[in-house]
Amino acid sequence: MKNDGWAGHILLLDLTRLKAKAISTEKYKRWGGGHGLGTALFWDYCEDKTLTDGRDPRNVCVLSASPFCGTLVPSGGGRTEVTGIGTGQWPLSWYTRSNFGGRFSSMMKYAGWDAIVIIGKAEHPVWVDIRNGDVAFMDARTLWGKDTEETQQQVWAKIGMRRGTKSDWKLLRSTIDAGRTTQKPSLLSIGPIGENSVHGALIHDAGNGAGQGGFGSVWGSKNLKAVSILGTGAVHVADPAGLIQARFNTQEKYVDDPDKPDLTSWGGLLGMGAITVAFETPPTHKRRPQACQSCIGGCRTRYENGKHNEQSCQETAWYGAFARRFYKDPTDIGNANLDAARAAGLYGINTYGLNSALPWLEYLYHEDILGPKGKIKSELPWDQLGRPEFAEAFLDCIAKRTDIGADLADGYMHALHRWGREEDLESGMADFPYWGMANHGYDPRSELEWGYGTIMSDRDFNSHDINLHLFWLPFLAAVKAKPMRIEAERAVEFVAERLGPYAKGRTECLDYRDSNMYSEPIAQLVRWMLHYGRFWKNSCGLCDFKWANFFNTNTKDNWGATGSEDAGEQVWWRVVTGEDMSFEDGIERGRQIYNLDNAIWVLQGRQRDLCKFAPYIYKKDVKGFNLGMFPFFFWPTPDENGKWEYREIGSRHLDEAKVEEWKNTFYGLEGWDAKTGWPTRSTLETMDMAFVADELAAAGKLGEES
Amino acid sequence: MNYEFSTPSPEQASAILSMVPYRERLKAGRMRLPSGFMATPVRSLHEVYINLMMDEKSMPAIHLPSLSVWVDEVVGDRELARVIDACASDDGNSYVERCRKLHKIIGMRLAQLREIADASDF
Repeated sequence: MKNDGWAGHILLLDLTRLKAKAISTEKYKRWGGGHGLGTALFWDYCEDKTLTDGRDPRNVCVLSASPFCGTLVPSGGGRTEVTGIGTGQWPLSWYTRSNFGGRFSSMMKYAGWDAIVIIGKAEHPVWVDIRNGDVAFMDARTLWGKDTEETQQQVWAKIGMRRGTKSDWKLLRSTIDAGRTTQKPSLLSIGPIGENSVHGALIHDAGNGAGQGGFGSVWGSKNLKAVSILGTGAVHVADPAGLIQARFNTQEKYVDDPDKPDLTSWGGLLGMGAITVAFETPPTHKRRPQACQSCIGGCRTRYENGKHNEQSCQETAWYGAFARRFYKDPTDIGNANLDAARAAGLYGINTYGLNSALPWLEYLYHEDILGPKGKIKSELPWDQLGRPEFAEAFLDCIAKRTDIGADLADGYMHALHRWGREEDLESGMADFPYWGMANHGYDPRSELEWGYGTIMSDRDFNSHDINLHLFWLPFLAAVKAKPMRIEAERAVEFVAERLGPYAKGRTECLDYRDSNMYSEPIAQLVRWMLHYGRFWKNSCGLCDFKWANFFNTNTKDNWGATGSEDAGEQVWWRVVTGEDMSFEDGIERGRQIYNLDNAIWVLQGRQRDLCKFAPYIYKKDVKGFNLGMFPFFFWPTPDENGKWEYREIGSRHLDEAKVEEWKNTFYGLEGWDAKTGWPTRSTLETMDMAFVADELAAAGKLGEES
Repeated sequence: MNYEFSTPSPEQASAILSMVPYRERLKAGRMRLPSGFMATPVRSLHEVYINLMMDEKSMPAIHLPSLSVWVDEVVGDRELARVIDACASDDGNSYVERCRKLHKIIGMRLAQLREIADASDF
């Protein structure tokens, strides 16, 4: 098989023996790269798939690129997938995933590697220096305890790179002329929180981080402080002219003028040009966009004053709303928020859980349950929540396991149960709807595909495919009292047309009415999203902020890029790898990858009764922090005459018994045993996955045939 | 836009400006593209004012009829509550426009109350 799009080798890092080994990529190409590649490697290299805490030294963590990485595929050339058993979930920590942007995966490819497999545990802290095919394990004892920025600076200094952006031609190694480059190594590191706690993130450069899964703590448990990689090679693509043409097609047809980002075009984020994904920042236009490798979007920011460059996305999302309490001026609010964001980046924390944890902890403080007077002792200045100094103190206590940091170290749900606060999951004051994870901001009682997609997988769903097109676009119109540029009926037709092979053209899959919440069409929608995401996004590395693109008001006929003949997902696969795979073939590959994921979850201990929401999601009129106070959860629904409109569907609950019935439908469609949620041999064999069936059978965990 | 509010006593102004107990908070939050809703309850008129600000990436998530009731019954500013109620039920304006209008109105009320209560450090 040709190697177009592939580097051809995978790097195995054995931390226990401090040995590196190259493996051929050939065997793993069927899984597509990224998540599929990482999962197949985990399957082969993890010797005990019953682990349920990612901090076990036997855990295997994989960093994977895709064939698109290092090429000019827009919004697909720079993401790195991280896989392995995670940390901090409830009741178990599943085999899970995260990914991050930037340039790490591109540098992996240029160095000759499609993935890096990390096994074992080093005796003392190490960092790994990779320069093309040369791999060295370096002593990191002097780096241990350092923040992520200092770690990067010190590693760059050790490699001989100058601080700042200026660079000269450098020898790849000082002793031999193994190549020369002007590039800095791409570096991934953990901070103090990763070394000591469950909440660790992997931080790359400044604003790129893999948060979900807590893989920073996985690295910390392995005594792995950082991986630096420098490559001087290239990625061969099958059809360079076709790649350039498809990129032009995207820029000319599917994307706005970056100087005039037009939110009101409502074409999904793919149509929004350069728009920053940073929240509550100082109101200034003295900044410019910064992008991941080969992206045409540029959703990151560099400020003219250089302060907080690249602080973006989730790390800017957890504190600003609290900072608003203490400041009058938007600039002060923005600076306080970015101070907290920078602290989070330096400590290397996964801040996602704080979205729900901080409101809950503050509630406990005001109820005199937590604090100097409470049963849960805390000396933190909770009345200062919102000031940057509190953020720093709070993060420090997690990093050092002091104050309540000791209880929070194993996860927020672990602390909740340790503190005997189960009632907060009944009332919704602890807003952790699934797997002990925070509410992302889209309540599963309204946003069905997000909630079901999460309990049928391993982590907060975080797939904006449907969310951007069918929630955000009508929402933005409604709150501004603008006419819908694309009416609900046409919008669902656009989306449904891409729902093959399961539900092509079936608009009922997008009916969010109460009467359709537990239906087979909704199960088909969730399947499609899981399978589409597992391959085209998580394995190929197409960015969630750009893909899927179902409809787009920039185009004459309003069709989006997804599945299109000129710039669809399958076009990129064809021009890069030379393999003529259809859009729906990719979704079938996603189904196989999802089945491999599920097999690991089953071996870890998953059975259907574990796949459920927190108690408050099933309770009527339980509002907690969210429900019913913001009347703009618009979703498409047909009326009794079949006329589609966007209607408010907040303030509802899920019926637990009916959710269980819905799971029967879902398992049946997947070909799994509905009694257990375990896959059957016949289903696995139709996907050429008998090897999975054999291992499940050996563990006594193969589903019964219906 | 210029609203004429009657002049409360310094004691009344201070009471209206004060932070209410956490249990009497108003549920509110921010809607942020693309990360969604985040809860941040508000406990004072100042926090309402700050919450009602629009910015490039987020907007207030606040149920305006509930805000009117809360300002009346919890904050204790019946006059402002009536203005909020009228604004909240103005179907001629979008939600965003209503929030912007309320931001200005509450800002004016805050300025007046602070001047009376000499509470510039709120």
